Amino acid sequence: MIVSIIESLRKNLKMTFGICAAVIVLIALWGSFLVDTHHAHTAAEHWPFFWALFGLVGAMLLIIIARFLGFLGIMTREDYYDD
Amino acid sequence: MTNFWLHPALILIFGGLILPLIKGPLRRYYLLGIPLLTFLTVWGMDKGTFGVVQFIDWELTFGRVDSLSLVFGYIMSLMCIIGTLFGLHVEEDVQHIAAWFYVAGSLGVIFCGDYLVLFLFWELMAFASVFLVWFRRGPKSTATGYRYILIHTLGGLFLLAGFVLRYKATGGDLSFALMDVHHPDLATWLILLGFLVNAAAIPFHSWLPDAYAEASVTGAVFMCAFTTKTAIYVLARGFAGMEILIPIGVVMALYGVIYGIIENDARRLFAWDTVSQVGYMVVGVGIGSKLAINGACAHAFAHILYNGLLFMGTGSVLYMVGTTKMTELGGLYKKMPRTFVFTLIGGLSIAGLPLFSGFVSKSMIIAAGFEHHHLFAAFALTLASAGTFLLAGIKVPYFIWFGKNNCSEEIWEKAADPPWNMQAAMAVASFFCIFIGCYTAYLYDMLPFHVDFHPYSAYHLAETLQIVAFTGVAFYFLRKLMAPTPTISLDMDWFYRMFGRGFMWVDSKIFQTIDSWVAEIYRYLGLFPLMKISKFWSWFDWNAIDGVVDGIARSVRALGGKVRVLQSGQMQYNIFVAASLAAAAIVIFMFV
Repeated sequence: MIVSIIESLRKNLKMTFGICAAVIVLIALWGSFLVDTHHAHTAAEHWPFFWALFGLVGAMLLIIIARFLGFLGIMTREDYYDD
Repeated sequence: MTNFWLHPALILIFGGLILPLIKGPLRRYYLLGIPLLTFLTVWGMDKGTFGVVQFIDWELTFGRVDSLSLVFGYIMSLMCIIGTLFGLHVEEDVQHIAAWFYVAGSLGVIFCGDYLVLFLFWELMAFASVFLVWFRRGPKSTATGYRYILIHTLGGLFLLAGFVLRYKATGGDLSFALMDVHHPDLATWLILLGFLVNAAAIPFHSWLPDAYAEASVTGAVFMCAFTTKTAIYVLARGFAGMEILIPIGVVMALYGVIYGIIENDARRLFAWDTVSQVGYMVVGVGIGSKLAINGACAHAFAHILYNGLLFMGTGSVLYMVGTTKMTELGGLYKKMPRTFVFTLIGGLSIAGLPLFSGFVSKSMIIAAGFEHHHLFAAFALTLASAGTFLLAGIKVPYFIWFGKNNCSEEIWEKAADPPWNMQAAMAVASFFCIFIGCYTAYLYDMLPFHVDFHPYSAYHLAETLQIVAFTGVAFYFLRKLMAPTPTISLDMDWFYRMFGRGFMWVDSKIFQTIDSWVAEIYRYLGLFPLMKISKFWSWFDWNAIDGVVDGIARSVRALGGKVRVLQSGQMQYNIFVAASLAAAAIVIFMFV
């Protein structure tokens, strides 16, 4: 059953992709304009799309920093310690 | 024992010692029965102080049962059931014994009331758990195990030095309670250091990814639950409100995520994620308010379950196909669909998606951070949870179960969902991950303090969903950078591995040369005549004197021959025998 659900999602990849994109946009709009933000902890959180941008920029930064550190020499060949 | 209070650790120790005698179809029920009995014992405990024993000058407390120790005892013994169910197919008794002794050590620490008992069980934990690494019997297991035990011995020595200093300074106080965290002295720092080694705080964390990635399939499931969370318990007990823990925890949370992003081995990736998640709890302890301590406890509780689940999921992949390197996997959803769903549930829980356990636990710590104006820490932890979703919610599921199929023909042939007991254990853990996420009262009612906290506010939901959704978008844009590569990542262990090599070099090149010169000179000048003389005296002693004095030498030699059987020459077995004797000594000590 699990496999057939996954297969049908993969078969209709465009539709799956479209639904995901629509959900993401709706979440951003709902979170920015419809939700009561008076529970926010800081002033910045009242800006529309604050948490959306936080997630997007934050995750990109993490990926780039990690790969940059790897590029500096942290990532190395698998038999490094075997000599 | 002073009264009828039964220490749950004793059930596991006794149960483990008897296990080799249980054979046949009963063994399976016995294996499940002992952890179940342990769990029921913890579950039925009344609060109070029990198991107080007078030992020389000291009053030792084995059973301090209060709301803090109960919640940890509850989850540790629950995880013991799940872990044993997962490893039910393992035929080797010693693997189960090692795991149970390890849990017994953890329970002993959780219920102890003073530093002596704490130290005793702390060491039991370290020495039992190293076998879970060695039993993998892989090419790297032996070396990894020794590194693991060396680091934990070092941590244990910090702890020992700390409480001995404290004992002297306070004029004989051994009790383990909240320290003066605002005016720490040397003893306090040393004890803290000892605890932080076990909590895998940077830079003492390298043992964790090293050992968890090399442990046996079931061993890793146990290891990922007990050592670090027991450390969180002792930190919460002794160091609540110590502010230095906040930056330490933040660094752990981000460091773990960054190393996870460039990791290829899925089990090592989740080990990095463990460092990150324990960072949250360390921050919670550092903030120290009621909400924060509740958050640390709740997160430890949730973490044990979803982390166990993640190690069970990736462990199943390792068990079935023999590797967890993502560069050698891919597209496995067709072959291991159930394992995929279980691992995904674990991934969504660790990432803190609504309806999953991480959502209701980590948000307490972040909320406490905002409440007490540790804005930097709160935002950093929120960022780390975006990174966690990137790793556990997307990277691992995608590159093992979808993505490009890099499986060799052999791997593809072997891939299938694991045996029923492993699936059942994953199902139980998955149930709890969702149950905790949906029915918050179950977990919140167990926490040490009564705090009114509602994670399912519209604002919190909107915040989390936006972060998750756009982390997904970031993955989509940078998916090429997220693709695993066949590399390993250098870390703090580089320093002590290289130090070890330097030491070996000095030892083998310089000292050994000197040693062989000295030996040669000695052999020619002293040894040869000495041997001749001693041979005569030995003959005289054996035949003349011992014959007169009732044959003591002969009987000692006979006993020596028997003991020699126990010593196979392998250090691991010696340690195992010593640890078993220590456990037996604990049992005798508590009953007599």
